Amino acid sequence: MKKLIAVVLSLVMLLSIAVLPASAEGKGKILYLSNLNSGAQYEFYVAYLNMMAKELGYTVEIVYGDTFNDPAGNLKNVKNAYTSDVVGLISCMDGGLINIMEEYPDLWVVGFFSDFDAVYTKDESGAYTGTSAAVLDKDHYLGLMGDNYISGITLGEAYAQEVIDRGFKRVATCIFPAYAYPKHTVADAGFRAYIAKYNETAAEPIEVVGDATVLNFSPLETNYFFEDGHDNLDCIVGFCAGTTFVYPTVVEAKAMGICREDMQIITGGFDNDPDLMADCGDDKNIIRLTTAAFESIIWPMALIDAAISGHMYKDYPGNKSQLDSGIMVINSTEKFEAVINNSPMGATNDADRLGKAQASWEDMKNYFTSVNPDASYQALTEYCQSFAVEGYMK
Amino acid sequence: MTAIAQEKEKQSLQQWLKKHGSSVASVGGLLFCVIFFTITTGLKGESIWSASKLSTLIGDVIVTALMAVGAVFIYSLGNMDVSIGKQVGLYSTLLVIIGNATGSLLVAILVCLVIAVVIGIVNGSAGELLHMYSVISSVVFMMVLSGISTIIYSNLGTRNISMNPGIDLTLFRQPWFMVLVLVIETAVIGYFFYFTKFGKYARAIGANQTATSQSGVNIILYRVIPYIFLAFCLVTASLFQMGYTGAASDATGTGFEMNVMVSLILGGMPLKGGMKSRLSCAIIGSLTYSLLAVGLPIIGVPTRLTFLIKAAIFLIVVLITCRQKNGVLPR
Repeated sequence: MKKLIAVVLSLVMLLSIAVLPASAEGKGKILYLSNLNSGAQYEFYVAYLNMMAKELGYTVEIVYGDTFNDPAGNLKNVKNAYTSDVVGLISCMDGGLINIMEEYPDLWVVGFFSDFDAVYTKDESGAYTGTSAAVLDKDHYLGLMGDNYISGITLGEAYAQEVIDRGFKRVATCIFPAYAYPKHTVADAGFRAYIAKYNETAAEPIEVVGDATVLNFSPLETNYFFEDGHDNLDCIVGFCAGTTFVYPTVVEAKAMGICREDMQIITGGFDNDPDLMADCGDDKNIIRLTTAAFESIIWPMALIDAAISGHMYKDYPGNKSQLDSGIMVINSTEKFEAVINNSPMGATNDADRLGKAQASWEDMKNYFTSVNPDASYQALTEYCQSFAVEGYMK
Repeated sequence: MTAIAQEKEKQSLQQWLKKHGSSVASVGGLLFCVIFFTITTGLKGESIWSASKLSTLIGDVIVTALMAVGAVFIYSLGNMDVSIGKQVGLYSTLLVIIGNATGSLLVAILVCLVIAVVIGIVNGSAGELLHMYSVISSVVFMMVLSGISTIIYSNLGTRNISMNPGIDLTLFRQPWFMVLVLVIETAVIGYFFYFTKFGKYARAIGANQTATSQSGVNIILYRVIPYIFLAFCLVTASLFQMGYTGAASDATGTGFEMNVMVSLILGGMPLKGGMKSRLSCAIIGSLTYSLLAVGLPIIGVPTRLTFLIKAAIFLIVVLITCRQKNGVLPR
C-alpha cells in the first residue's frame, strides 16, 4: 500500500513539473525578494509585478526572504533562485543585501516595502553604520521606497493626531524590540512628545499609561490588562503589527471582561482575514490601519527598468534616497469598506486585482523611461506617493 | 538452472533488498536528482553543473552536511538534539563578537568549543542521569540559548552584526575549502563511528541499551562522547555559516535542526538509531536536499511549489524506507 502511495505521489510530482511552462524569452528576469509569502497584499504585488513585467518584456520570479531576515538565509535564497537571465532584484529584505550585491555585482538592486535599517542606520556623526551600508557605495544599488512613513517621528505624530481627533483620553503603546525595529522606539517617542505638546494647552489632557510595552515577537498577553491602568484604556496604539500581535488579545480580553468594551486599536499593516476586516471601523475594535499604498510598487519596477534598459532618469538623485511610500490611512468605516470592496485587497483573482488597482498600465506607462524617455524621477516618485485610500472611494 | 536454484536466488535478492532497501532508496533518490536536474536544467539552457551553480550547491549543502555528519552519532543513539540551530546561532554570534574584539578567530573558536563541549556533556548525560528523554535537555538548551541570543542583540542594539573587514573570511567562501573540510570531517567522524568503540557502542545503545549496559558498557560515558563529537562539528559548521556572509543575526541557525533531521531521513537514517545507522545518510541526504533547493528554481518551479515538492519527496522517502510492518508511517 505504502509503495503504491509513493509511486502515485512520484508520478503526480513529475507530471506537475513536466507541465510547467518554459520561461519566456525577453529582457531578462527580475527577482522579487519578498517579505510576505501569502495574503492579499502579497497576491496583489505578484499580479501587479507580473503585469508590468509582461508589458516591459521581463519575467518575474518570486523569492521568499528568510523569515527572520537572516543575512545568510537571504543570500542563500537569492543564490538558489539565480539563473543566468536574472538582471534585477527588487528586495524587501535588507539582511545580507551587501553579500548579495558582492556575489552578483552586475545585478541592479532596488529596495521596497521595508525600512532597510541594515543600510540606512546612522550614528551620531551621520555616518552609515548598518551591516549592509556599503551598498550605498555601489552604483547598482538604486535606492529605497519604504513601508509607509520612513520617519518614525512622523508615524508617531500621525498616530498621536488620530488619538487627539478621536478624543481618547487614556492610551497605551506597544512596540517591537528596539534592536530589531528601531523605528518603533522613535515613533513611540514622537507620539509621546506630540501628546505632551497637546496636553500643554488641552482642557482635558491625554494620559499615556506607562512605558511602551515591548512585544518580543509574541502576542500581547492577556495579563497585560491586569497591570496598572490597562483595564481602563480608551485605545492601544500598536506600532508593531497590531492586527497580529495586539488585536487577538484585545478580543479575548473583552470577552473576559477585563478591559473596557469600547477600547479600540490604532495600528499598521493590512490583513484581509474576513473576521478581522469585519471588525474594523468607527465603532469596531480596530479604528485605524496605516499601510503602504499597494500601487507604490510601480516605483521600484520603473527604477529598475530604467537602470536595466540604460535609460536612467535624467533627474535621478542617486541611491541615498529613502522615500515614504504612498500611505493608506484607513480610519473610518467608509474607508474600510472602500478598501474591502473596491481595492485589490478584496479581489479573489488576478484579473479582479488588476482591475481594481488605482493605476492600469496605460495610466503608469509614461513614468517608465523605456516607454517615455522624457519621464522624470521626481514625477514618478510623486505619482507613486500619491496613491491613497481616497482613490478607492471615487 | 533448476527451479530451486532460481527460487534461492530470488530469495537472496529479496533478502538483500530488505537489508539494503533504505540505502538503495536514498542513493537512488540522489542519483535520480542528479540525472533529472542534469537533463532538465539543460533543457532550460542552464546547467546545474556550471561553476556558479556548483558553487551555490556547495555553499547550500556545507553547513547542513557538517552538522548532519556530527548528528549521525546522536541519531545512532536513538536521540535527537533540537538545540543544534540555536547553538550554531550563538557560536556564529560569538565568532563575530570575539573575533572583532580580539582581531583573531582563534580565541573565538576556542571559546565556542568550550561552550559546545559543556552543552554536549550536559545534553548527553542529563537524559541518563535524570531518567528523562534526552531530547528534553536539548529543548531546554534551545530555549536558554534563544534567550541569551536575544539578550546579546538587545544589548548590541541591532539585529545583525558583521565581522570587521580586517579579518579575512574569503577562505570560508571557497567551494574547494568547503569540500575539503567536509571530507576531512567525514573521514574523522567516519573513523570514530566505524572503527572505534565510540561508534560501535553508540550504535549498540541505539539498538538495545539494556543489552549494551549488561555487557559492561558505561552508558553515560558512551552517550556523552557522541555529543562531544557533535560539538566539534557544530563549531565547524558555525565557522562556515558565519563565514558565508561575514555576519550573524539573532535569527542565525533558526530551523537548522529541522534541516539536519530532514537531510538524515532523506539519506535513509533510521530515527530509532541502532546498528543500521550510517554516516553516508548525512552526505546523501544533505546533497539531495540541496540539489532540490538549487535545481527546482532553475527548471522554473515557482518558489511556492518548491516547498510542496520537497515535502512530497520527503513523504515518499519516508514511505519507501519505513520499516514498520504494520501501518503506513513509523510511530
